[in-house]
Amino acid sequence: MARPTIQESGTRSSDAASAGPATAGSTGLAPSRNLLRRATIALPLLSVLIFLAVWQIVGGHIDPILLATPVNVVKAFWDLLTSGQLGPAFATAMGDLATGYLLATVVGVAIGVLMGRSPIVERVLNPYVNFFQATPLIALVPLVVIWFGVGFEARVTVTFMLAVWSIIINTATGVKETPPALIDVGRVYKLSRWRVITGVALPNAVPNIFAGLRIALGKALIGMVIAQMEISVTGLGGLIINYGNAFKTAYLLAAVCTASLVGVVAASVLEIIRRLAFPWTKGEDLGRW
Amino acid sequence: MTTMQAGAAIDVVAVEKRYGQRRGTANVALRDVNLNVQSGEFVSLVGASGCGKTSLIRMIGGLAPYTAGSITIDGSPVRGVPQRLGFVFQDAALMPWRSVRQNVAMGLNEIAKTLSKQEARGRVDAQLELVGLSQFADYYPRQLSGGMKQRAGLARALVSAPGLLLMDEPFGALDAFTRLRLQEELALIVSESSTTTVFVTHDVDEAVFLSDRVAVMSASPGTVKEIVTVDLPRPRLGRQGLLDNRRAAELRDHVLRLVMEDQEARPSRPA
Repeated sequence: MARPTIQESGTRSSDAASAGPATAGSTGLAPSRNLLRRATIALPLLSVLIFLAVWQIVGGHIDPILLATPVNVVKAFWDLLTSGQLGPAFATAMGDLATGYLLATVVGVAIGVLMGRSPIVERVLNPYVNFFQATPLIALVPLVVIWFGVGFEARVTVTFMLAVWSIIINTATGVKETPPALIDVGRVYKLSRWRVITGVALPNAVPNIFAGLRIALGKALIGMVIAQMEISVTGLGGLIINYGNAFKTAYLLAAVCTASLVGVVAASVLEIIRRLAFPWTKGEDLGRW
Repeated sequence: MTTMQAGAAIDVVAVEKRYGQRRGTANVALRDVNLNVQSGEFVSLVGASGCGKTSLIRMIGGLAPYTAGSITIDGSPVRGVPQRLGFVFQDAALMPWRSVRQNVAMGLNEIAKTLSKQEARGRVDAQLELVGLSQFADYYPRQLSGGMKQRAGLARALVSAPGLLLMDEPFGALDAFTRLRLQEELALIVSESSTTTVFVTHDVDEAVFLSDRVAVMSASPGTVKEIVTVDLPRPRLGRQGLLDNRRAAELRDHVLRLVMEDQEARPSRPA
C-alpha cells in the first residue's frame, strides 16, 4: 500500500505554515513577501502615530474643553491611576461586564441550541427574538431601574439584555446548519439524542457561537458603560459622566480609552480561548481574497 | 479482526417509496424493488442518477422510511438503524472537531460497553493501520486529502467488525487515481472479512471489479431491473488485471448497456 501523502500543510500550526514558504524558499518572491509582512506591523503603527501627532497639533490650538491633546489625556490617565480613582472604577466595570456577559453566554447558547434543534421552540421564541433584536434596548433602562433598582443587578441586567440576542441567533443558526450527513453518522453509530446535541450540533455551531460572542462583546460593553452612566454613576461610565459634567475633557477621554482597553483585552481573551479550546476552528476565518 | 461474526443477510421485498400524501399527486420514487443479499456477499447498486439507489441504501440502513413492502435483515424487519451496521457516506462525513483517531473510535460507540479502554484503542489503532492512516491519527479532517478522509470514513465503518457494510458512492468525489487505489484496498479488506456489503456507485467498472453481483436499477419509478452475477475469480487483485480480461469486458458492456438503455428510453422532454 502506497504511503498516503498529505495535501495541506503537515504542521499543526497554521501560523508556522504561513511563515514557511517565505523563509524556506529563496525565490524571487521572498523579499517582497518580507516587506509585506513587515508592513503589517509598520503600516498600522505609522498610521496611529501620524493620527496622534495631528491630534496633538490640532488639539494644542483648540479650547481644551472641546478637545484635549493626547499628552494631556495621558497625564489625566496617570492622575486617575495614582489618585486611586481608576482602579476601583475599572474593577466595577469588569465585574459588571463579566457577570452580564457570562450570563448572556450561558443563557444565549442554551436557548440558541434549543431553537436550533427544535422547530417548535424556534417558532415559539422567534417573535420575541425578532422583537428585541429590533428594539433599541437602551429605551428599556428606566424599566430595568423600576424592576431592579439602581445597583449591580440593574447594571448586569442591562449588560445581559444587550448581549444575549446575537448569541442566541448565531448559536441557533450554527446548530440548525449541522450537515445532515453528520446527524446520519450519529444515528448509524447509535449516539443518544443528548450526545447528538452535545457531540455533533454544538461543536458544529462553535464557529457561529464565537462570531455571536464577538458581536455580543461590543454590545455588552455599550450596555455596561450606559448602565454605569445612567443607573448608578459608578465605574468607568460614572467617571465619564462626572468628568463630562465638569467639562474636564482630558479626564473624560482617559476614562473612555480605559473602556476601549477593556474591550480590546476581552476580545483578545475570547480569541485565545477559541484557539486553545477549539483548535479545529483555527484559521477558518483567516481567509482573504 | 479478532471476532469473525457472520455477515448479515438482507431481504428487500416489493419495496415502494412515495413522496406526497394526497392521492393522485404522489410521486413514486421506488416501485416493487426486490433484492436479496446473502451473508458475506458484495452487491453493487448501479444506475443513472435519480434511480433511487441512494434512497434504497438509506432504507436498508434504517435512515429513511419506505411506504410499502418489507426490508428484513437476518429475518427481522428493519426498524430504525440495524445493529452492527457500518455506513460509509458520500463525502466521508467526518466530525471536523474530532481527530482522525476520535472519528474512527465513534464506530465503536455501539459496542463500547463490551470493550476495555485498551481493547478499544487497540482496535482503532489496528483499523488505522489497515487503511494506512496510522501516521495521521492525531490530524484533524481538514488537514487530510479527500482520499485520506474517505479512508478514515471506511475505518470508522469497519472498526466494529460490522455484519453489514453500506457504502453510498464512497469514491465518487475522488480523483481517478486515488479512486483506483481505494477500490483495490477495499477489495482486499472486504475479501478478508465476512461482512456483507452493499455498495452504491454510478461507476460500472468499479461495480464489476468489486462485486459478486451487480443490481442494475432503472429510473422513474426506480426499480431493480436486472441482477448481473459477476463470475470472475477472486481474489481480483489489481484493477489493471481486469482491463484485458474478456469476461470482465463482457460484463462491463452488459451492465453499461442496461444503464444506457434506460437513459435512452426516458423522454428528453415531456410530450
